[in-house]
Amino acid sequence: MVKYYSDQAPLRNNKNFIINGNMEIWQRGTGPFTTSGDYTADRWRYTESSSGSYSISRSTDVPSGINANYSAEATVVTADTSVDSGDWLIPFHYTIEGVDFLPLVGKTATLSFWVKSNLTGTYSVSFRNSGADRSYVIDYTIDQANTWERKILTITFDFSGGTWTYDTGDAGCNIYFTALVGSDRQGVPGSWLSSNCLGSVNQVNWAATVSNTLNLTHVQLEFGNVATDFDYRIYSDELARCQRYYYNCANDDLNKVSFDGSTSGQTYYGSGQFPCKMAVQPTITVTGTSESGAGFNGIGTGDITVDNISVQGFRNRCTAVATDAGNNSYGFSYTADGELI
Amino acid sequence: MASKYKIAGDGIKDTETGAFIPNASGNRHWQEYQTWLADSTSNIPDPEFTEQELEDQAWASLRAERDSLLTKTDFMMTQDYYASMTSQEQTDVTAYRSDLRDLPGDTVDPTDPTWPTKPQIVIDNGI
Repeated sequence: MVKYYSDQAPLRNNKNFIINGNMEIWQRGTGPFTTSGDYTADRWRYTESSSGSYSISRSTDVPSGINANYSAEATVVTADTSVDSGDWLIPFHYTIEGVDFLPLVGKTATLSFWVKSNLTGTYSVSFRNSGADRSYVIDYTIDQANTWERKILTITFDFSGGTWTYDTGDAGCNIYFTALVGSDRQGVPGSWLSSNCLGSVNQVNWAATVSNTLNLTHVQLEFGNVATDFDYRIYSDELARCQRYYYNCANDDLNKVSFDGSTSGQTYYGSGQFPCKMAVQPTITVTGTSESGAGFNGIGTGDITVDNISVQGFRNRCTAVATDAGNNSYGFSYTADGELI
Repeated sequence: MASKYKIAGDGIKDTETGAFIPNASGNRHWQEYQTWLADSTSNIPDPEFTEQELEDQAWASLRAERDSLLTKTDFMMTQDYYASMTSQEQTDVTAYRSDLRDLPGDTVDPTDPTWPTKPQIVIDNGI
């Protein structure tokens, strides 16, 4: 019998439930992202409610020997030295889509990641449902300042009750990498809680000092209680997965609509197509325009109107500003935001 | 004062960001819009078009249709075709085209214009 196998390299088996866990894809730019609610690296969101201010950026600071280009780096811009009961800060928040989370229900899984901060101490990771009525907090420690450390946390999704959603377009499970949490959102680590907890009482106040940093990369969530090697997916595969939730149709691949001739004042219609079926009907923002011919000369982003948005594409229209018998076209760049709630 | 949102087809437009938001419960910006609506009875989206925009659109539509009719009858003014028409037809077509050119200036309400009557020769040409 001939056996075909390799012991030279890890198999790519799509074991990682996290998309863009290695922070490779940043369709929204490289930061700094400073507004709570901003998405930073693809699929990763930053949220906070505190008296401090923070920024998230792409960083080339990565652990040696793990073959990564980037990490996501959070920095304290304005300190929050006194944590109020309602304060919280989540530099890195990931949401698993419901249909993708469903296989994990009732199973044990392992979350592994590389983390680095100048501030040592206890930090929390929280898993929470979309209904915000079930959560599970796990603590970990950063032992050495300014040193990359790999952390491995195990969780069993054996919750009962609560509002969970398991369909396409649903938020299945949120994972919060917490940096500050007040008493209102603190919970006891290690068991499922019937409340919305983002961390434990042990969580350090990472926001206490300006210029504190927290880096994260190579996040992996997989079945079982063992953290295996990181699942390197090919770039095009990872990008396509990201584009299910956000698509940046940038200037180099404009959505262009062409016509033979134009009549001043007449409205012309075109369509746009997303590269893949998105998770939800996305919000479209026109970010730039171009034109050829006199018909659409001088148009701006406000001259493009979008409607009939589906998970696969949309209709757009633009009114000609001049009559021209030649070939006329208008084009525009845009973003499509179909991130989960 | 402009509202934060305005109607845009079957969805809405965020006037601050310029984003077009679909009417979809799974869209997070649509949910933010629903929250905004519920926050205050004074939170009302602007209509898709202002009165001025609707009037501008009506004028543009009128001129586009007028331009189209002029273009379709251009061939009748070529030397050969013009010469082939009877004297009455020449007078009718010339007057018709003149009335078309004057139409915007003679119109008060662009949504209810009085279109010049088409001469028979124009109708006979399928225009």
